[in-house]
Parts: sequence; structure tokens; C-alpha cells
Amino acid sequence: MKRESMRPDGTRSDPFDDFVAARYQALLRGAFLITGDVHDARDLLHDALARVYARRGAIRDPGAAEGYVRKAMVRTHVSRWRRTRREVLTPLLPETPVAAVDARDEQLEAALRSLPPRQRAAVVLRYYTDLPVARVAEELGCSPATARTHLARATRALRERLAPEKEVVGHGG
Amino acid sequence: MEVESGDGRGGGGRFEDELVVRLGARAQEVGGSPPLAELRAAGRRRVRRGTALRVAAGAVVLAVGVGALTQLGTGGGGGPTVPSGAGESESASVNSLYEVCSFGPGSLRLYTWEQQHSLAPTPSRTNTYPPELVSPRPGMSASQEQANRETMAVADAIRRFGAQRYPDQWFGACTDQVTRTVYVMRTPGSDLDTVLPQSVPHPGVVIEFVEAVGSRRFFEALAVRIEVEDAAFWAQRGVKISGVRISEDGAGVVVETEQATTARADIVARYGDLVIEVRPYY
Repeated sequence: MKRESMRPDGTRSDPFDDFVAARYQALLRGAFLITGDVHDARDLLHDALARVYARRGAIRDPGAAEGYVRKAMVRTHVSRWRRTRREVLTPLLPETPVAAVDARDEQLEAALRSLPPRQRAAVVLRYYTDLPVARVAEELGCSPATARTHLARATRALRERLAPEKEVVGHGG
Repeated sequence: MEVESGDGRGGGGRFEDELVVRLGARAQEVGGSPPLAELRAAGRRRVRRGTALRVAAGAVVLAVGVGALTQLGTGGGGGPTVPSGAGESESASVNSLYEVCSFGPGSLRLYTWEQQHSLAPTPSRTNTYPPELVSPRPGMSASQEQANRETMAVADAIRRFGAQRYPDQWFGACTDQVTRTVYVMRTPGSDLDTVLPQSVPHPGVVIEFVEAVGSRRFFEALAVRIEVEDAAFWAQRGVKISGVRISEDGAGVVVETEQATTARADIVARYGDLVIEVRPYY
């Protein structure tokens, strides 16, 4: 990715800026699904963008930049989770305005939150970002077989949490 | 080892489709415009920090080098050789931690525990160092630098070939730039040793084959088995596996747990020699 280019109107632009402007919202939404919190999502995305910005001169294919950012996000998220997983959680919520969400979304969020971070990331990359399994594996930093395992386990867990009532009906007779 | 098959699309049909829709709807809840100036500033800070770190590392290497030369000059040898000396540190600062093994693959054992297994580079992902990212070492001649680049290029080609063509035997490769040797770590018993040198041009580069206990794929599956599949088994015994790391010399895995002292024997009994260390996790 070149560090600077000339716009048609003669002004200079940084392709990195153009990339961020175009893909920020999509990346932020992916980060939100990975973290489950909009503030954490912004932190994660901004950190990943700063990492990629520092190496943007080495990115030859601008189309690959989004993959680099996602990869940085997933790995940073897993690392953070490892560092903080033993922190004591408090039932008290911070005093911040919280957007109202419907019960169905809460159910989805709870189900996602129950997944280990790599499984959660795999689900987001596969079902939200719509990447093929090979790319999911690449961005998770594992083999395709391992990625498939993460996905299979994650979908099984999500199915159990999101559709338990259907199974109960089946055994009700 | 393929633990489970299927990618979850197509097999589960309706549920996966519903999941796609719900994830999309959930994601719609957030939005915003990029704080470009702030992001650029953060990026520049990171660049400056990286530069400062490289300068500091260079200064340390220089100091160690000067110290070693002084010691040689005064005849003050005689101590044991430590395989993590200046040359190796210097190499590691130029290339990936796992790509350089100035003393053969065994030297990678020193570095193995730096990262979780899943973060370690797999052979198919190691070609991520464009020439412009590899800064010249101080004092290195242009021809040496060129030779190193050629050696690394051969190593990258070997990694791609090995990982793609022999995934069940391939573990990894590392280079000794001084002797221009690429050490290929693989499990024996295939024609890789014959086919690889014939298939990958390697002018001036020596290829040496070193035995690995298992393939990269095998160890990744083992790590998943220990950390994920057997989590319930260990939980029943009061053991929490905190992490599993693959030794970059292909010798086995190290298991991290807070109950290392009490669980060591059980872990080794269950997985055998594949576990080369049970390390306390703090």
C-alpha cells in the first residue's frame, strides 16, 4: 500500500485513510461481534488499525489490508482475554448509557459470550464476515481442520443455547 | 488430525442461516465514522515506539558484541558457550523469532515458550516478511545481506512446498544464515527428503533434514485435544489447563497449568513423551 497517492482533483491522499474511511464501519461491527461491547470494539479496532498503519508501506495488495486488520483484531482479542480472564467480574454495571436491545439480541449476545474467544471469532469471521473456512483458519492462525473444529463446536453450543425450546418440544410426548 | 469435520455451513442449514441474519442484525447496532486523525497519530506513535525499540536492541547487540570482542582480545575465554549470544540475538531481530536457528533447530527450544501455540507461525504463513521490512544489520556488507535474503527466500519456498505438499509430515523450517543452511523439520518416512531438494531451487543453500516427533498439524490437534477436548476430564480432577504450546523444534508440547506440581505425573501419563514439560501457570 503506497503511503500517498494523488487524487483526481490534484490533492494528495493516503490510501490507508481511504481504506479506513471505506471499511471502518464494517470492521467496527465485526469487532463488536467479537468483543460484545462497543467500547471494547472501538479499542480493539483502533489498536489493530494503528498496528497496520505502522506497516502499511509493506502491504503490497491494498485489498489485503482488511484481512490484516481483522487478523490483528482477533489475535489481540485472544491475547487480552488470556490476560484478563482471571479478573474478578462484578455484577455492577458501569454508569454508561446503554442502548436498548431486544431480548432476542440479548440471548444471542449471551450465547456468543459463552464461547471461548477463538470460537467466537471463528463464528464472526465465518457467519458475519462470510469468509471461507480456509481464510477463517488463516486469520485465526490455525489449520483449516482446527478452524472447522472451532466452528463445529461453536455452532453446536450456539444451537443448544439459542434453540433449546425446540429440543424440549420434541421430547414432550 | 481432523477433530471434527464440517464448517457449519450447509450441514445445519436453517440454523446457520438464522445465525447469519441475527449476527447481521446485532452488528447493525453499532456504527460511527473513523477518527482518522486520531488513528494516524496512534499509528505514528507505534512507528516511533518500534523505531526506539529497534535502536535500543541494536545498542544492546553492539554492547554485547564489543564486550565479546574485548573478552577475546584479552584471552578471557574458557567459559561455557551460551547458544543465545550476540549473533543469534542479532539474527532474531532481523527475522522472525522462529525462522532463525543459528545453532540448529534445537536452539529454537530457547524461544519456544514465547507465544501460545496458536499464535506461532505455521509454515504456510511464514512468508510475511517483505524485503523492505528487513532492515540491514549494522556492519553487514551488501553481499552478506543479499546472501541472507536469498537464504530466507529459499526457506520461504521450502516452507510453502512442505506445508502444502506434505502436511502430514511437515513441521517447520529454520535457517542458519552464517552457514546458509535451511533445517527442515519433518517426520521421517516419506519421500519429502528426496522430492523437496529436487523441486525447490536452492543455489548455494544447504538443506538439512531434522527429525520432528510429529507434524505441525499433529501438534496443533494435540494442543486442541489437551486444552479443549480434555478440559472436562482435567476439571474432574481439579486441574485447569491454562495453555498448551508447541515446541518450535518439533520435540513436543508444553502444558501450562496452575496445578503443575500435583498434576505433572498424570499429564505425562496421559499424553506420554509428547509433553516435554508441564509448566506452572501464574
